[in-house]
Amino acid sequence: MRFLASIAWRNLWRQKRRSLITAGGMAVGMTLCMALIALMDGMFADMFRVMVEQQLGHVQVHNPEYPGKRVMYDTIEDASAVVASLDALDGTVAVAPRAFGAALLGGEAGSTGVQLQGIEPERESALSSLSERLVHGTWLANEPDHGIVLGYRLAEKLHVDVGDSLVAVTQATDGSMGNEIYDVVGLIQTGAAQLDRTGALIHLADLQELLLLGDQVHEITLLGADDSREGIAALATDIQARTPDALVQTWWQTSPPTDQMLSLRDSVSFLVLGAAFLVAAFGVFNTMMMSVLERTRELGVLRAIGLRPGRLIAMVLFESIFLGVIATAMGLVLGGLADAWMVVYGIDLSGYMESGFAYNGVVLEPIFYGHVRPGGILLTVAAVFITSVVAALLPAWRASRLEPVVALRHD
Amino acid sequence: MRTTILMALFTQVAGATEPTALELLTKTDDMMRGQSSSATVVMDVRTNRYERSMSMQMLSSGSERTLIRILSPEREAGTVTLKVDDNIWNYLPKVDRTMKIPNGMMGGRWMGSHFNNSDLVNEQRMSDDYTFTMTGDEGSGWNLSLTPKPDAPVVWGRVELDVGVDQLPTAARYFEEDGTLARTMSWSDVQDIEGRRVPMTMTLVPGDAPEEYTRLTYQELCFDVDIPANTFSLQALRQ
Repeated sequence: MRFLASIAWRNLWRQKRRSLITAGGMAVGMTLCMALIALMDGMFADMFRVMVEQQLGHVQVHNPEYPGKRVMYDTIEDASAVVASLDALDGTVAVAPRAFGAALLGGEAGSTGVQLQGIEPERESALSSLSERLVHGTWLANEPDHGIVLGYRLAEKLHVDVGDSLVAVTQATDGSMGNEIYDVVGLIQTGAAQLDRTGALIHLADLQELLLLGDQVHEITLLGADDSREGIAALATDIQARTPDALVQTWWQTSPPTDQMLSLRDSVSFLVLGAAFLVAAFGVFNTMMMSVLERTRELGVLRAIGLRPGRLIAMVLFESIFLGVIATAMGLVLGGLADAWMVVYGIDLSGYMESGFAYNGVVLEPIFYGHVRPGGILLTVAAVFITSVVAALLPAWRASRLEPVVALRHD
Repeated sequence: MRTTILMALFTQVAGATEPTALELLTKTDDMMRGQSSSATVVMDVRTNRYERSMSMQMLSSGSERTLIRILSPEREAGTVTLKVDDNIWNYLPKVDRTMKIPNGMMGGRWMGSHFNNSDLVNEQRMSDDYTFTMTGDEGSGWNLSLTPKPDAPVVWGRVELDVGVDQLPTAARYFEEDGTLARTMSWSDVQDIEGRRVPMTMTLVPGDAPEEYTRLTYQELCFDVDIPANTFSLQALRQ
């Protein structure tokens, strides 16, 4: 076997230029794939950040009746105690209780119906990057002080800015009309269309007071240390053990559409790889076929002195695989450089679109940054080797089928 | 208006003869309407989630203008709802602001009751918007079945109205377009107020939760009172 490999290696260098060009072709394909996959991964990482980390969290805890109907009365009771018990759980990075209430929010210049979201500012910033998404003003104070943070589009609609005050009117849990004045302290631009258009955040304690909710919340959102599916599923199991009556869901259970959208990532990667390496495969096929045809006599001699057909196939495949190794070496260098460029500089499309583009309710920035995953690189390398082997199968089979007598007479 | 007067005259002249369906409907439409009225009302609300009782002062001028001031409980005392034509404003004493109810929230509950905001602005007369058939007689009372006219601006698919032997309505059942019962309104405790016979209690029961209700009970009721015109203005809300 080793002997076959060394012959294959030498064969490759008999046609130095041709081998290098073929390997170079594969390397360019690999570079393009790595760059494109990094770009796609970057976009999907953006979506994951906006959809999962900003809104869904890794795991959500609800009253089993709450999701879907979102009735104000279907709450998690004794929320402080539940939150404290989840804080103590190993593997949680952030635990953020939330409450929601439909309200009429109005200022001097108009009013509109909104979903008030009650949050604990400190806990929420540990969980989501919402507090970093301020475009104006400040984040909510840690102590309830009737501050309100609005989505920037909602603020435009209400014609209010930081420093203005708004009245919220709602029906409290006892049927009475809850009403209170809140001071606009900050505006956020999150990239999530719904939050930008109707998001109104106040301190959890302020909302509990407005709705007369007491120590009840509608949702507890958690982030785990391990963001892999297995890690998140394990965390959900631990949480369920501590909150037996509650509905505990991972983010992909909470929002199957988000899951479907994010699962497109792998399909897109495969599509890119498939297209690039289909082209590369023809190059490899051509090289190997040429190499077999021009050595017909030589291969005939090898057969005549007793090299079995299987060994001949192995020899040709070795040759092709070595071609793949050379291509991978070149491709990793070129592709690595391309990836680094994508990560550091990104691709700036702001000349073509001003405010980014929206995809499934997620507004993406007009500058796309790459995101490099070991998985993406491994996939590309695997594609090179699969291509090398598959494209060489026919030439190798052809070589093994040579009749020594005929081949020896070949010029 | 002219028709109403003619109708009234006709009723006078006709005396004891059988009332027509149109007359019964008109009576129902006119039951609570005078040139103006002033009332103290207790509203009891019972839902599966809460029970509450409020007392309020209600002033109205025709069907276009109504002002309701909450007297108790403490938490909401001083809250005023002003209705002028199709608009509703709420004055909120706690924050000292007045807010107009946007069109999108007209379906919202009024003060946690089973009435919604659009019930307050509803000035429609059943005799205008529905075609009707009637069964019954003087001995047993009447049942009217009302179907909306093709382009009438009503939300119901059908209304059934029960009228007692005293020619006053006792109950109305409102059905959705698909035939399910949406709500039942009933009137009881008829009293003589300044020569009019008026039911002092009005109960609304939602179709999907028969154990819930909102009941309005009139404590005091006067018709044709003098109400200064500026009462029904945004400026007057804060008093």
